[in-house]
Amino acid sequence: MLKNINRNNLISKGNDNRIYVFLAIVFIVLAFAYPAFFSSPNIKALTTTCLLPILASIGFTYVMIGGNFDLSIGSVINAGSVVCMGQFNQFFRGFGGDAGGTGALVGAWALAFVCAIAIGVGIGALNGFLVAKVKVHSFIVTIGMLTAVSGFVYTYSNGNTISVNSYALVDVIDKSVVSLPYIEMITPRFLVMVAVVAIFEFVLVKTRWGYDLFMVGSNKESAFQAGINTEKKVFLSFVISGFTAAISGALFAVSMNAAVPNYGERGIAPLMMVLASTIIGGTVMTGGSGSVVKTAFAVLTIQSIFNGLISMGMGFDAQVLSAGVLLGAVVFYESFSLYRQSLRKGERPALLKEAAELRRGLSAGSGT
Amino acid sequence: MLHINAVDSGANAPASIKKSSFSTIANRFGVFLMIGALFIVGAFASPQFFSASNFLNILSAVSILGMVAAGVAFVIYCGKYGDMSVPMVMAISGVISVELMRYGLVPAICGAVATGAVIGCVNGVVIGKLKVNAIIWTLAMNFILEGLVRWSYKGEQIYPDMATESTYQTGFLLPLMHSLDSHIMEIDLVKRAEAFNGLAQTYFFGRIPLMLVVMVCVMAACYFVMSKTAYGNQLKVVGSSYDVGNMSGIRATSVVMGAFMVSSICASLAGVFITSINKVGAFYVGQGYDFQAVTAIILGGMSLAGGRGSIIGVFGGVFLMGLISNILTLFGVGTFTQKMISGAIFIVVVAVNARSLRKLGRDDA
Repeated sequence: MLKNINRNNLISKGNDNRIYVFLAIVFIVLAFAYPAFFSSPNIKALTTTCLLPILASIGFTYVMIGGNFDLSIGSVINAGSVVCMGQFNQFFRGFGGDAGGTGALVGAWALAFVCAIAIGVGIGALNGFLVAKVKVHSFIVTIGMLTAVSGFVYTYSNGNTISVNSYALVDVIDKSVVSLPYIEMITPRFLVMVAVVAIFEFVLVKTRWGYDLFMVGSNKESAFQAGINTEKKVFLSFVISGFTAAISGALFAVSMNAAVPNYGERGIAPLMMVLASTIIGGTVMTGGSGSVVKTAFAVLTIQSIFNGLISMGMGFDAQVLSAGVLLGAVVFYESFSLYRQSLRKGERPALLKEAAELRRGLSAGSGT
Repeated sequence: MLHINAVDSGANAPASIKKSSFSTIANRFGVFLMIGALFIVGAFASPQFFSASNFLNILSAVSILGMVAAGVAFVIYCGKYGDMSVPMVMAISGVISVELMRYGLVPAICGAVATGAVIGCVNGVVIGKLKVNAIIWTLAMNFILEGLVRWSYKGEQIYPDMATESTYQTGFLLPLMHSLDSHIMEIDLVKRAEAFNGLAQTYFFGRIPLMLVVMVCVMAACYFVMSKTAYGNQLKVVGSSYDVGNMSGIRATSVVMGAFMVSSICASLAGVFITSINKVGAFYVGQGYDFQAVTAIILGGMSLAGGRGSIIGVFGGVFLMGLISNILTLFGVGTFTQKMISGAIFIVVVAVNARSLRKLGRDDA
C-alpha cells in the first residue's frame, strides 16, 4: 500500500515537471542529430524566436490558472504591434520628426508603447468584465473579441503593413549587451522578457494574490466561501493577459521595424504556439495549477523542435504538424488521466481493502 | 425582445405564465423581429433592396455558412459550446474532393463526406467518452489537420485542372492513386475540372443556385432530425443536463458523438462547395467559418447552455448575418469594419442573452 502511494507520488511529481524532461530529451536528440544546434549564433536565433510567445503566454497561463481561456490573444498581439507602430509615426511627426532630435524619438516611442499597452489592457478589461461580471463563458467572449479586434486591426492599418523609418530603437533593443559567444543572446529585449517572467512568477508563487488565483481556478465556490473576491481575480487575470499580449506584439513589431495586421495567419498562429506551450508546460486545462516559468520552458522546447526541423530542411508545414500533434497528444493524455481519476471518484481504498479482507475471511471460514 | 424576458419574472403567477409564454415566443422568434427591423432599414438604404435578385444574392452568399451552421447547431444544442475544427474539416474535405474528382463528382463528394465523418467520429469519441473540453480538443484537432494538409501538400495549393507529373508526388491520395492506376494520366482532367468547378455555378430555373438548394435541404434534414426524431429528443435531454441524460438510460456518449459527426459532415459538404467556388483547394479556405457559424446560431436564439432553440431559428440567424452584411455594403461600409461590427454584435447579443437568462434564474451560460 505504502509502496503504491510512493510510486504514485513519483509519477505525479514527474508529470508536474514533465516539461524539463521533454526539454532534456529534445536537447539530447538535437545535440546528436544537429551538431550546430549548440553553436552560439543558433542559440541566439533560438532565444530570439522564443521572446514573443513567452511574453504572450504569461497572461494566457494566468487566465488558464484562473479557470478560463483567452482565445483573443492572437488578435491582441496584432493590435499591440499595429497600434505601437502607427501611433509612433503619428507622435514622431507631431514632435517635429527628425528635427526633434532624441527627445522627440524617446517621447514618441514612450507614448506609442503606452498606447499599445492601453489597447491591450482595454481589451483585456472588456473580456474580464464580460466573463467575471456578466458571466458569459470565456470561450464565447474571447472568440467574439478575436473577430472584433481583428476587424479593428484591419481598419486601423487599412490592411497594410505599417513600417517605421527610424531604426534607433531596434538598434538598442536587439543589440547584445556583451558580444561574447553564448552571452550574446542577452539583449535588452531578452532582459525585458526575463524581468516580466520573473515578476509574474513571483506574484504567482510568493504572494497572497497568486495563492488566491490558484484557489479560484481549482474551486470557485470554496474560494468564494473563503472570502476571496473571485470576480476581481478573474477580471485581473484577463487584464494581465491583454497587457502581456500587447507588449509582446509591440516589442516584436519594433524588432521587425514593421507591423502586419495578420501576423501568423499563413505561418504558425501565435494562439497555437501559446496554447500548446501552456498545456505542455503543465497548466491544467480546468485551472488551479500551473507555472509561468514552466510555460516559458515549454515555449523553448517547442521552438527547439522547430529549430531542429528547419535544420533538416522542413518548412512551416512540418512545424505546424509537429506542434499540432504534440498539443493533441498532451490534451489527450491529460483528459485520459482526468477520465481515469473521475472513474475512481468516491472510491475509498481503505474501505475496499477492509471489504476484501472480510471477503477473504468469509471464504476461508466457509472453506473450513 | 430579450429585455421582456428579464422583466417578466413577476410575482403575479397567472400573469407571469401568460407573459412568459409570450416571452418564449419572443425569444424563439426574436431573430425574425430583428430581420423585420432590418427590412425597414434596408428599404431606406437602397431602392434595389426589395428585389428578388437582391434576396437571392443574400441567400446564396450565406448558403455555405448555412450548411456549416446547421451542423454546428447540433454541437451547441447538446451543450458543447462549438466545433472549432470546422475550418480545417472544410479545407481537408475540399482537398480530398479535388483529388477524387478525377473519378467523377459522386466519388468526390462521397470521399469528402466520408473524411468529415471520420474526423467527426474521432472528435466525438474523445469529447463524448473522455469528457475533454470540447473547444480545446477541436482546436487541437484543427491544428493537427492544418499541419496534415500543409505538410502533405508542402504548403502548396491544389487546382482541379492541374495534372503535371509532379502533381502526383504530393497529396493525401494522389501518390497512391498514381501508383495503383496507371491510366490516371489519361483522364480528361479539363472536362472533369469544369464539372467540379461548375458545382458552384449550377442554377435551377436560370437563377436559383444549387448551393442554396443544398443548404435548404441540409437545413430541412437537420430540422427533421432535431425536432421529429428520437435522436433529437435525446440530444435535447443530454444538452439540458448530461448527467440526467446518462441516468435516464440514454447513451450520452453516442449522442454527443453523433452531434460531432453531423457537424463535421455538414462542414465537409460546405467544404466541397467552397472549394468549387474558389476553384482551388487549400488549407485556408474555411477560415472564420467556425466563429460565423456560432454567431448565426446564437443570433438564432439557440442557448449556449444547450437544449434550447431550433433549426428554424438558426436559419433566421444565418439569413440575418447575410442581411446585415448586405445592408452594410449598401451603406458603403468596408469589409474590415463589417468584421468589427459582426464581432461587436456577437458580444452584445451573447452578453444580453446571458444576463437576461441569469436574471430569470434559468441558465448558467
